[in-house]
Amino acid sequence: MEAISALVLDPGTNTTRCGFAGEDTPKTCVPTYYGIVPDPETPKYFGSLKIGENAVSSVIDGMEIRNPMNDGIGTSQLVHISWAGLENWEVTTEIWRHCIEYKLSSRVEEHPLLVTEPIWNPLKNRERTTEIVFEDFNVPAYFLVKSAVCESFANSKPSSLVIDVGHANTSVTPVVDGIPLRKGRIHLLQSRVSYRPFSHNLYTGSERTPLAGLHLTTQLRHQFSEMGIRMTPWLMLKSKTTYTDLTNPPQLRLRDYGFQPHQSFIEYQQDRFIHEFKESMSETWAEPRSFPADINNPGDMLRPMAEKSYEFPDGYQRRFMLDRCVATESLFNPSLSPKPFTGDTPKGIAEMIKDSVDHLDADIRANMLSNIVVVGATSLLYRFNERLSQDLVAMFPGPRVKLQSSGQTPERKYSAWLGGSILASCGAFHQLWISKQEYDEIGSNIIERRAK
Amino acid sequence: MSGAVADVRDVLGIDATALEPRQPPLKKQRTVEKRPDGITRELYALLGENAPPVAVVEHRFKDKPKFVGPVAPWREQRFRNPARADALELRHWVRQNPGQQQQQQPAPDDAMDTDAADAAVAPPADPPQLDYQFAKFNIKMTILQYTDAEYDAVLRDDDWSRAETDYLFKLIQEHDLRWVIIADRYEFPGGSKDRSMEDMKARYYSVCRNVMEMRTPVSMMSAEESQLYHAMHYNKEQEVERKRIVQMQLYRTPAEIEHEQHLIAELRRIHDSHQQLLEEREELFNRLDYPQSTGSIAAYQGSQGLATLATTIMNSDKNKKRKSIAAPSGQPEKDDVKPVATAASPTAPSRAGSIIEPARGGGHGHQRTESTASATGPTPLKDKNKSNIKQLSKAEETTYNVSHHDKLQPGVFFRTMKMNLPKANSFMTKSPAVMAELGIALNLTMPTAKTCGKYEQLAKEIAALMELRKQIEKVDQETRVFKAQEGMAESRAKRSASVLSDVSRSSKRPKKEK
Repeated sequence: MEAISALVLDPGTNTTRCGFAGEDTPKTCVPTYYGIVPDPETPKYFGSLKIGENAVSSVIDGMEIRNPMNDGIGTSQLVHISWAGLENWEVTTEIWRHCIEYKLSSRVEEHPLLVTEPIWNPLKNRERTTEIVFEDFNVPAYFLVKSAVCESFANSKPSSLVIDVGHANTSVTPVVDGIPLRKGRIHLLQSRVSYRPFSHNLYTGSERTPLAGLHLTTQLRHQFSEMGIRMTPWLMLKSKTTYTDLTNPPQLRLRDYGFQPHQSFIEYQQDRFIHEFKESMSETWAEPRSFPADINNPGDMLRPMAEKSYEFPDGYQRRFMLDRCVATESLFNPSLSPKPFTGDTPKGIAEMIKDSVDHLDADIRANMLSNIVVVGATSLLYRFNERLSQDLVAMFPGPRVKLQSSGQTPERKYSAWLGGSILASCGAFHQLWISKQEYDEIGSNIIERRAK
Repeated sequence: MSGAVADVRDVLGIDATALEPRQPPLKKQRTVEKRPDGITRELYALLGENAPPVAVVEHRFKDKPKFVGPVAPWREQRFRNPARADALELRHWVRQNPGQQQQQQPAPDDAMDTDAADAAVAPPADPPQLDYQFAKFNIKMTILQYTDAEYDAVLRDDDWSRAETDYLFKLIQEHDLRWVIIADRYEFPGGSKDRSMEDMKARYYSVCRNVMEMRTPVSMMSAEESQLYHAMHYNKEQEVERKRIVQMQLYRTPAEIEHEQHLIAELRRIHDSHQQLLEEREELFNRLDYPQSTGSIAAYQGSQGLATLATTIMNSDKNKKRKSIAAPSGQPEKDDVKPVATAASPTAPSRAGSIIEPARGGGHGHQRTESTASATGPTPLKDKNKSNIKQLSKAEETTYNVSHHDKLQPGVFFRTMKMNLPKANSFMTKSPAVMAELGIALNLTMPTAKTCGKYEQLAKEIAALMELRKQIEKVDQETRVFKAQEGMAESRAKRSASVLSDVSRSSKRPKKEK
């Protein structure tokens, strides 16, 4: 290990992770969502920015919650949420600066900076990132590395098939000797217009499929509203009384803030308990029998599904059985989604992996199949890996299929960051940094030459 | 006396030296006994190597680390990586060695403080470190380069343009011959053809070979060069075919995998039965060859020689008794004896009250002194002995309760213990069920010689029938397997059909032998 006190920044759709290279977990994890309060005195962003976990969750009159990965400023352009649609660069810069200068209390111009990017990141974005890093942050050295490569390294494998089940995207990337393959890559891209799951839903083509954490949130939200559950977030409630009868709910006692918070803020807050539901209740169907099409009439099951009860913020208590698996099942079998897709129904995760493997050279297929690395926070769903392994073994009965996945939650969640940390603290890596001098000579296009 | 002890040891097979080393510790203990004056014997006994009754744990802080010389400080130092083309200076923490530190800082006492302050305040004052330990990992492969003249002379190809070949070599250089990545990144701008990895490999190796051959003719090459030259040989068709087969192998259906495993199991079974067949055949040969003629027969040609031969044969026959002639190892003999004992032993204790065969004296009945492996009729030798004694008729024998035995065992024993029951393991386990079915008690209530004889006969028949049934089942099973395989083979390609027929042919052979 050779520490040069580099910083590692791993920007994701849901959170932005940042910390010092050589450590095993990021020092800070900031929501990529930000709040914007209309303020005529700061015309730069059409309002003042609220960045950070506390700021985003504070109740402010008129504050709208946005995500720089998917919105243009004050527009309703159809841009996909992801790096591909990273439009609002000013805000992104502010979030990165917040991570490094406020959360880490470091001076950004003193440290080399390693940034991770998804494999589908277009050249335009890569050049823009390079510009920000050298012009705005004035870093001494910088490098942009594919997150799939980092994830593979974090699982101590130079060659593997990386399956990253994240917040907005699920991607399947074959990595050979630390270099990601492009042709064997299948990219499932969550596409949404803005952070309003009900208003718009744009799924296009078979390459862009919404099979990740955000998709689960959307499906669960739909499932709850179908059940007729009042999804009042915790922040809006003054007190609650528990009840189990949905037809006769008690009166809601709401907190009075003196104003009605923005709809996007309420939805963001709703996501928090949906997220909790995902963590504590959702289960992946990993039985030998396929998932019953009608969950009210499941037929005979080898193992009765354990019953779990959950209390919603407004005090409604409900027991969940098979309906815990419905949303997660749609990751593997999108045709069973509670909320149907507009447009084409995408392929399930296992089928995507099969497609990716089929594109590979015959000689490395067996190696890839025995080195499947599963990362991403959504892969922490209960029995997710079991299900994936089951599907893959059914698809490839001949070769050995082996899934490798860390049992540690932080390692699974922050594996891209961890890989970046390993890389940036590696002595032999230091010759790869793009220095300020090189940037000054060549310009932002250097990224295309140096970091392929 | 010591001589007698040595003899006893010798007889018992105890190594004489094994007992020797015991003496020195005894002597040592005696020397320890000498205690200094002024200490009572009891107190002295507590001293020495005895472990203390209670572990003494001292409660105290860890010792201060003992540093030899001044503490080596860590210093944040700028460094340059010689592997880099530009003058990027990064900083890392380096441990100074104390000598170097003393040179820089004459007062070692406050070295830490001033050092840290130094590093924080004015790091640029240090000269950047020039050698970098990780620079040595910067290794690039040397890929063959060709000149324009060489290209024009031997490398022209209708399929590949010069620009595309250059592009290919650039990619190869960039990705260090990792073909998977090269094929993945291959996007030649002007190329209309979709190049496969095999195309690229074929081109690269042909270029390398041609250039090598041009620079040094094959006959002039050194051993190393020639080895490399031959290693560069690339057969594209063969590679494509190989990959096709690899792919086929990867995408086998579960049914195909099952069939393959079935074939492997079948092959193993055939191997095993073949082995068994060989063993049986060898045993048969041994039987037929016996007695082996070793040495000349000249010694036995005279009448006296013949007489000696007769006695030796007789003696050896006596010694061998019923020893199987087939196996010289003595294993079959054991097998012959043991099952009789084990078969009889469970019945013996429960029949304490039943009739016991008395050991008769020599005057009453007479013992057969001699027995052979197949003692069906009396041997001429026995006849001679018999001629002196009055022969009893069958009726008389029954009247006087005279019975003939192959050698009586001394002492008292149960007749049932002597019953000659079939030895097969399967018979042991299954006979009780059959007996129960026939309504015959497992233990004879009245084991006279007659009933025992009948019982033996019955048991033999049962065993024979069981053996027959087993054979029938085996043959049935095999027939079914072959039928199933033939059914499968019809639906399969010709090749697998031929494998199957091979299998069936070779597996039928051992069956006939049986």
